[in-house]
Amino acid sequence: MNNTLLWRPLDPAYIRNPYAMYERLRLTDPVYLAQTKEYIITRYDDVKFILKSESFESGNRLGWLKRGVEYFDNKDEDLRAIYQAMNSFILMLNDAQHLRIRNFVNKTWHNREVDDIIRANTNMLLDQMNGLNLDFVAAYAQPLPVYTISHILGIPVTDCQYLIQLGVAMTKTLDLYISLKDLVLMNQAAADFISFFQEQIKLKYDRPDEGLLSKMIHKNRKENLGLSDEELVSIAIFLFTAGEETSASLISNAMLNLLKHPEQLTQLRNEPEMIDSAIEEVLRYDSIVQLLGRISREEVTLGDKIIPAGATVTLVVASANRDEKAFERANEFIISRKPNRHLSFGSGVHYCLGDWLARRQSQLAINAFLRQYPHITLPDQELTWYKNLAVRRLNALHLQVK
Amino acid sequence: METKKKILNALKQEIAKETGLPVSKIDDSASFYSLGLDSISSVFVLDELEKQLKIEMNPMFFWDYPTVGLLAEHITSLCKNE
Repeated sequence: MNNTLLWRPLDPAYIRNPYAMYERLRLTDPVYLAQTKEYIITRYDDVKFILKSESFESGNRLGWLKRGVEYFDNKDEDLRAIYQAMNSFILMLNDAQHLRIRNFVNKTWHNREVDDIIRANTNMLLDQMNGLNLDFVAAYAQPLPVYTISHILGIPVTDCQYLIQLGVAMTKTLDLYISLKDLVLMNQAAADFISFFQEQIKLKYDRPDEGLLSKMIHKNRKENLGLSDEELVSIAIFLFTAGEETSASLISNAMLNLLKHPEQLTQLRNEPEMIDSAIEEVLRYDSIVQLLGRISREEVTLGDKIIPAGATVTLVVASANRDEKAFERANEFIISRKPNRHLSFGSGVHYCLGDWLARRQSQLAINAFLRQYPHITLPDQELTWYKNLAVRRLNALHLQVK
Repeated sequence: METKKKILNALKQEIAKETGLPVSKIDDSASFYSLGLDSISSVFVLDELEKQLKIEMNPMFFWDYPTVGLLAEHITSLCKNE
């Protein structure tokens, strides 16, 4: 890697710990024009301003992928499933199209009583555990959200591992810098997801049930809303992956950070009701989605920099959350922190639709695990992370428990 | 020296194929951008080079070593480390 560059998003050292790189950017060049021709925004106020501003829009990844798919079509490399799968990803849409899909999901998703579903799933997974050593990610953090979101959508979990694999591959849609090999993997996962949900939708047309997928299909039909099956499939893939991968990472990061701060863990064990603010602190301190992208619709002045119209802007949410100007003792992990106005779920019109589910699921998951195991230790291990800075996802977290 | 020449040549061949420019017109100091490559075509070019040179390419190479000469030099140093 070129050491003179401030922006080194694929450098393994910075993927292990990106916070020093963020701090240097924040202090020396908070609106940094990177070698990648995008602006890297690292201060809290600037990130929040752009998230709320109408001068910026979403969809830089979707646009890029669309152009990429067309380009590779000419090279006889068919990547069309990627674009088809992502076509209605709420995260990447703008204006009327965004509102149409977002309101549709919001109006259909009434039932927010998820505690019983989550508890049943944590109990099931905890019952399956045996032995004194376990991989917290594989045994708990990763399968739990798959079972929960599948239950909410009303789809069967006949092959949890298969769905996890597809979810991991689809998360690459958030990666900023990818190779053709990544694109080919994504395309395969996208195609598999599409056929899985097409099959499910076909079943629900004949046999309506209480799941969210069935409700969406029948609402669309009854009220003549005009969503195509392709759009419904894309929405389902989005809800599944958004609900699964990020929650798995949040639960893993919560456990890791609690174990690295034993005095905080003891405090939480003594006062389990602190779990709400503890999860907020995990979200702030070690944000799952580290980066969000926007495109400028017009020229915008930010500090002493002018961002031209049409520029790609990368918002480093995880850096904003560590900004000393916005948080006291920003680099400390303090589970009682209040207020805690982190930006990990975004802000403005794209504010995360599933924040309540992510919060509730991780709160219940962590407390249930702590109740089950009065003694948890973190053995020596080299922690490995997902190879891209965009998502802070642990590959494994080995624990000793009793 | 031999390796670097070989790598430089392979890189220029790939860029020529992609852009339609003759190899002789591709200068070592030319940036990929000025030659007409972008964030999408670079994905393809890096993949072709990876297959040819049997060395793992990182998507950031295109940005971190933005000229023909700089990238050739970097890939050469990777070959030596192997």
